[in-house]
Amino acid sequence: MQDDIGATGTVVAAASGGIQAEGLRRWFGQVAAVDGVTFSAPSGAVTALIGPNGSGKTTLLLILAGLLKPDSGLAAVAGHDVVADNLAARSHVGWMPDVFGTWDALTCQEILSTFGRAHGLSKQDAKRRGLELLDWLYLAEFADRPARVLSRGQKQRLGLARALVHDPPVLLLDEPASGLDPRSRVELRRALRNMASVGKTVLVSSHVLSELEEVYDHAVFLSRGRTISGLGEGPVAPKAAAGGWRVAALDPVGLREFLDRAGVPYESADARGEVVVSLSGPESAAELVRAAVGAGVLLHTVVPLVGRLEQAYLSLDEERA
Amino acid sequence: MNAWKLSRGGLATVVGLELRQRVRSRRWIWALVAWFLAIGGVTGVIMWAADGLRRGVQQSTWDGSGPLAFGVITLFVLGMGLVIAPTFTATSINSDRAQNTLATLQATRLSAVEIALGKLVAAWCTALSFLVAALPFIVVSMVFGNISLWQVVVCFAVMFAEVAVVCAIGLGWSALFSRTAGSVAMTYVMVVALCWVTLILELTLLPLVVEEAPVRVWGVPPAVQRTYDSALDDYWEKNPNGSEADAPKGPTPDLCAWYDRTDTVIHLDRVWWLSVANPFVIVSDAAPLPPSAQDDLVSYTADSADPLAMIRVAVRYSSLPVSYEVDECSYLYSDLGYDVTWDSFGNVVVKTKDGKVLDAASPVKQHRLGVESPVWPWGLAVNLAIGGFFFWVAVRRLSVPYGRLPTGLRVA
Repeated sequence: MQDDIGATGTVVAAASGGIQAEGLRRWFGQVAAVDGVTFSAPSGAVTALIGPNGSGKTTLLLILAGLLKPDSGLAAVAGHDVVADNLAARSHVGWMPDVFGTWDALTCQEILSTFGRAHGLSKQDAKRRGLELLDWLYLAEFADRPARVLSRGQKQRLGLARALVHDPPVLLLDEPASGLDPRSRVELRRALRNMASVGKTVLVSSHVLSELEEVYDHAVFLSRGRTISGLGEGPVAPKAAAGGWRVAALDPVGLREFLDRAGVPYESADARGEVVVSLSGPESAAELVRAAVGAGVLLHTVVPLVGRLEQAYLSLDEERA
Repeated sequence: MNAWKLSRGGLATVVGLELRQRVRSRRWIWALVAWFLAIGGVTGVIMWAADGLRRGVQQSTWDGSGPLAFGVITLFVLGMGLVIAPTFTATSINSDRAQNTLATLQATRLSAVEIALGKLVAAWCTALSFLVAALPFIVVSMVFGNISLWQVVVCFAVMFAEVAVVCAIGLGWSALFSRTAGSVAMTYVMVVALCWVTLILELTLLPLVVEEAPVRVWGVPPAVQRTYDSALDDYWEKNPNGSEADAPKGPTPDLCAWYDRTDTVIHLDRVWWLSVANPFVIVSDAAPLPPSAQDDLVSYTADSADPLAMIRVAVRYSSLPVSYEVDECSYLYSDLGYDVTWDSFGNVVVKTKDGKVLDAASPVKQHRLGVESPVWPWGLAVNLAIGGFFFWVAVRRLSVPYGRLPTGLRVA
């Protein structure tokens, strides 16, 4: 999938849609909130947008949602340029901001119907779609209750429903899991993978990297308004998965004996018998697994302490500079 | 740019959204009830006072207190409507922004004009409900005062137009200010400007239009007046306890002649147009008059004390070109016990106490006070233009994608 800069300067994305951004810049007064962002998020995949506070994530999402005009650079969602083709771009995007309000006086179903009709759906379609989404997000019992009775997590789910009401091919989600209880988080992860598998483009911005670990296909890192690893075509190759690995077995005593015999230094992680072993990378881990299993240790967990995303994030030099 | 795209579905969505929220808030019901009671109370007091006035007045030409009551009630409802209209829209856009419900709406297919017009139409519906709540009392004064239905309809329509304009102004300010206090304050400032500042401006500009100019006076020449005054002074010197009846009488009208004098002349006709955009002037001018008043507005006004007609006359009078001829003779007739008034044609009308008209024409030509050229369309056009401007401001401020953001504005 290649980007073509046409003669008029419009980014012409191939028919596969997704999100393409090229050299985006946006100033607020003297401050450059976005200062050169280039990346592409393919359709049918979940792309994680990661960066410290103030790195320009929210501004970038506002640009992609069609609410803010970039001062320079180009962006296209689902094949529509966000400036030249703003209405079409907005129609193809489901945007869930990190801070949003609800109309407390309206019922959940009315809220979703209103947004459905605002996106051009007919009254019946909007209502039907709203009820579908409420059902899917476990909010069906609140369909006819005013939104003010919802808890924080439920409002968050309603916000997600609102972003999906017009079945957009591109989703921009800013901290979608904030305020959700653990079960809802699991459901959300499942939902994101579902949406990716049906061909939607999902761009998720979050601080909870351990969660993103399980869902992301590509990652975009943002720091001080610039993309660090853009055009991510595959999972982020960590600088090294070197570091601590958590190892656990059904018989903790046997595990420790094996490690002592193999001469592998370890530290006790907790009372259950887990240990932390320092390894140089996935190859070493595979070697350890083979050796342990061969020695009869009932190994069940070998996992890096720090996820790949976290490692990559922490290794960003720029933000510390 | 798609900011100006307007579709029925989009508009209906926003109107439905706004009205649903309004209807479900208890506050609105309470405001309506309070409004109803206030209007009702004041109407009752006015009708009672007007009735008492009617019974107390001896003049045979009194038309009845109907026009007076109706006029006062109409102006009162208009005033109250202008006071309450800003509350419908002056916090509409900026409170949505503060509650973070505006950006998600802007990210849909809705255009800026659909959002702005939707909010405005919802505000008009609310305003209509308040005006309709006042309608029973207007109808009561109409029935008791023999006012024509057409007059009520026109007054109501123009009142609604004025309130609609204030709603548009409020919407514009709510888009300009991010703090609700600021937008509400500015909207009220503009309402006050429309109602009062036009008058105050007129008065403050007066010094610019005042001049000392020579005038021709039709009256008792100063020399003749002096002889009468000295005769009067002599009488009182000689008879300090004398009676009023024995004192020499003043000059009589037959002594009047033309003489020249330098007077202060006020060219009100140069600034009268400032009052045209005043909502009260517009409603007064638009109110249809009973047929009798069409021909002779000034007499009708004097007879009925109709405040709408009085405002109308005042505005027209101030629009008349200044005459450099002054009549100081006709008033002498009142000293003789006659009743002196002027009619719309500029002729003096001298009547005896039983209504018989004397032939006492004055050579001073007054300008005719006519009602043919209506003033209110101009005023209404100015108001609509102001409202339209603020609506345009609101649409501009809602258009996405935002280019340069005004300071203090957060998109989301």
